[in-house]
Amino acid sequence: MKLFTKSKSEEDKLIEGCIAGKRDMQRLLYDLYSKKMMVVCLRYAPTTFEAEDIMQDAFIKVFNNIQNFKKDCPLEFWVRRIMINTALKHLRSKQLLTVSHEAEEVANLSSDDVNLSGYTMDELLGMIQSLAPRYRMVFNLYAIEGYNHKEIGEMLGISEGTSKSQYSRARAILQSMLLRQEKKLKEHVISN
Amino acid sequence: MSSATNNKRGGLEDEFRRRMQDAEASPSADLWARIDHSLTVQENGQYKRGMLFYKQLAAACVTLLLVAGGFAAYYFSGPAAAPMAQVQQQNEAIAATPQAVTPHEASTNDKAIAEAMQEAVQPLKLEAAEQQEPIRASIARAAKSSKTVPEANSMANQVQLEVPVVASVTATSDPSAWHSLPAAKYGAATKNNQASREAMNVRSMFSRLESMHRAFTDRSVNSSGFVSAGTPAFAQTAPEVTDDFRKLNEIVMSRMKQLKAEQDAVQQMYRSEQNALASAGAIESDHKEAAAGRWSVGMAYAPSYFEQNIGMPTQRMGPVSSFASFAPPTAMQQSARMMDEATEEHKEEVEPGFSFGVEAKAGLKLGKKWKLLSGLGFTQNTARSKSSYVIQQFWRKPGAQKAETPGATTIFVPSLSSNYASDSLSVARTNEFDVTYRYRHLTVPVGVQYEGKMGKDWFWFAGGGVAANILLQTSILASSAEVRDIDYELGDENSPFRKLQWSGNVTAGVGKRLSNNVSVTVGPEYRAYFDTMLSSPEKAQAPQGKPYTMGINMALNYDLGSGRK
Repeated sequence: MKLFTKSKSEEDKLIEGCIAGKRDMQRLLYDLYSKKMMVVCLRYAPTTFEAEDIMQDAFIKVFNNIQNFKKDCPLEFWVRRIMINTALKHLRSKQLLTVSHEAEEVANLSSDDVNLSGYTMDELLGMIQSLAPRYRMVFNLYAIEGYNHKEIGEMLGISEGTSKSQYSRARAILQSMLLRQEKKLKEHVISN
Repeated sequence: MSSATNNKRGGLEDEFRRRMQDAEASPSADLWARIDHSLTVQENGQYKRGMLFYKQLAAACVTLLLVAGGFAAYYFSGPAAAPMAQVQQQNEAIAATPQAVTPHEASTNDKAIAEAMQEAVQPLKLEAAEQQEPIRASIARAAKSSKTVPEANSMANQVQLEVPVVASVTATSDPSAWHSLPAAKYGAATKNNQASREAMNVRSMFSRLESMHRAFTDRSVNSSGFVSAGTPAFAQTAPEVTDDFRKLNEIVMSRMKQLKAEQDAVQQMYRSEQNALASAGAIESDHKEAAAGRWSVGMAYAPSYFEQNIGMPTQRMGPVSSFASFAPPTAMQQSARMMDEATEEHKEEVEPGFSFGVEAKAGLKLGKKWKLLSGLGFTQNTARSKSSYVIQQFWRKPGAQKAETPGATTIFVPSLSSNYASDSLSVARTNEFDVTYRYRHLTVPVGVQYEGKMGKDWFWFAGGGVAANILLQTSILASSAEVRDIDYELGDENSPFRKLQWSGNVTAGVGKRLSNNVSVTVGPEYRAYFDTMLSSPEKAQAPQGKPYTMGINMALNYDLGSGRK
C-alpha cells in the first residue's frame, strides 16, 4: 500500500502497464491490493491454504481481464468483486455450498449489545471460517459486503427466503460463539 | 456494489463490517512467485497455440497452392479445343462481314482456289497410297491366319475399296497443305493409343486449316494478291483473285465436313481391322498386357506431426482425497497443490512429436483417372512433453505393514481414469525431464485416388480413404532414471487406450513418371482419427479430443504390365 500512491494518473499508468502485460506493473498492483484481498479470501475460504489458492486464481483473472475494467468504480472494488466471484466458484466446484445442518446450540441474543473491540482479527476470522460454507458465504455477502438477500440468492442460486434463513442461522451461531468466548473470558478473570 | 435496500443490519453486522472492511493480512511470501509462474506458463501456452495456428495455416496454404497449381496445370495443358474454337470464331467473324463482291469475281475466286487446292493435294496422293499398302497387307495376313473367320476376307476387300477414298486424305509436314493422313499413321503403328492418335489428327487438321485461314486473311489485307509465304500455291495460281470471305469460308467449312467424313471412314476401318485381328487371335497378348497394366504396387512413407488430444483434468484429482487418511492436512494440501501444478505443467508442455507411417499398397485402375488402393501399413505416432513432478502410488495389502508401489510415474497415467484407486500417493518435484508418448499401430488402409495430367511426365493427384488401426504397442518413456517406463502391449487388459481405431485421410500432391512403369508422388496428408485415444473417454476426468496427424506423403509406384507408352 505504501509503495503506491493512488492518484488517478498513477492508477491509469498501472492499469495500462498491466494491460500491456508488464510484469513489474502486475507486481505493483499485487503489492497494492494483496493484503486487503487476503482478508477477503480468508473470510470465504475455510483455510489459509485455500484462501491463497483463491487469491492466486483471482489475481490471474484480474491480469487477464483488466482490459475490461470500465473505470466506473474504484479499481479496488473491481478487484474485490473478482476475489468474491472466484471464491464462490471455487467453493461451488468443490461442492461445499450444499445445505448443511449444524446441530449447534444457537443463541438468541439482541444484536445491539455486541462489541467486538476485545477480539483480535485472527479470532474474528476464525469464527467466520468455522461456519459451514453456505452460512459463511451468506454472512460474508450480507453482513460485510452489503448485498441484500435477493442479490445473494441470485449469486448462490438459492431463493431469497433461503438466504434469509441461512443468514439468521449463521448470525445466531456467531452470537453463540461470542457468548461462549465472553463466558470464558469472565471465568478467566474471576479465577485470576 | 451493494444494495441500498438493505436496511435490516444491526450492531453485529456493523461491528463485523467495521473490523473487516480495512483489515489486512499478509499472504505467504511465495504467492507472487506462484502467480508469476502461472502467468509465464499461460503466456507460453498462448505462444504455442499461436504457433500451432500458424503451422496449420502454412500447411493449409501449401495444400491450397498445390491443388490450385494442379488445376491450373490441368486447365492450361488441355487439348486443342482452344485453337478449334479460335478458328471457328474467326470463320464466323469473317462470314458475318459484309463483302461487296461481284458474281464474276466470286466465280473466278472459287475456280482459282479449287485449282490451288488440287495442285497442293496432287503430290501427296501417291505418297498416301503408298502408305496405305502396309495396312492392306497386315489385314490380309490376319485374315489368312484364321480360316474360321470369314469376315476377315470381306474386311480386307472393304479396306481395299475404301483406300482410294482414304488416299485423297493426305497429310504432309508441309504447313501449307491442309489435309491430314491419319490412315498412314494408323497403318504404321496399329498398337498406338486410339485417343491420342485422334487428338493428333484433329490437331494437325486444325493447324492446317488455321494456316490456310491465315493465308486468306493475309490476302484480304494485301490487295496485290497472294503473297503469304505459307501458301505459295495460291500465290502462283491465283494472283488476280479478289476477296470473297463468305465463299471462302463455305469452301473451308465444306472441306472440314469432308475431312470429318474421311476421318470417320478411317476410324471405322481401324475398328474393323481390330475386330478382324481379335478374331484371328492376333491381339490376344495386347489384351493380357492391358489387363496387367491396370494393377500397380507401391510403397509410401509419411512423416508427420501427431496431436494426441488427450484431455487432462483442470480440477484436483480424486486420489488426493484418499491421501487424507494417511497424511497430515498440511502435507495433503501440499500434495494436492503439486498435483495441480503437475497437471497444469503437462497441459502446457505436451506437444506433437515426430511421427511416421509406412504403407505397402496395391492399386487397381478404375477407368483412366481413378485408382483403388489398399494394402498394409505401420504407423508410429509420437507426442512429447516435459515434466518436473514424479508421482508414486501406494497400495496396502490387508495384513501387510508396508505399502506396495509399482514405481514412480508421471502425472499422465493417473490422470487418464477417474476410477483408479490407490491407498495413498506421493508427489515430488524433481529436475525437469522429457516424456515421450508413443503409439504403434498396424494399419489396413483402403482408398481411392484421382490423377490428372500436368505435362508430359508430371501429373497431379488427390485421394482419400479410411483405415483400420490396430494398436500394437503404447509406450510412455521418461528420460529420468527415477521414473519407470510404461509399456502396454497388444491385448494388455490394463491398457486404457483404444485397441482398434478407425481413421480417415485426405491427400493431394504432384507426381512424376520416371519411366514407363515407375512414378513417384509427394503431397501433404491429413489423417483424422474417428475416436479418442482412450477406450473409455466417459471414465476420464476431462473431455477427450480426437487425435490427428498432419504430414507429407511420399510414395513410389510401380505399374505392372507394359506400363505407360
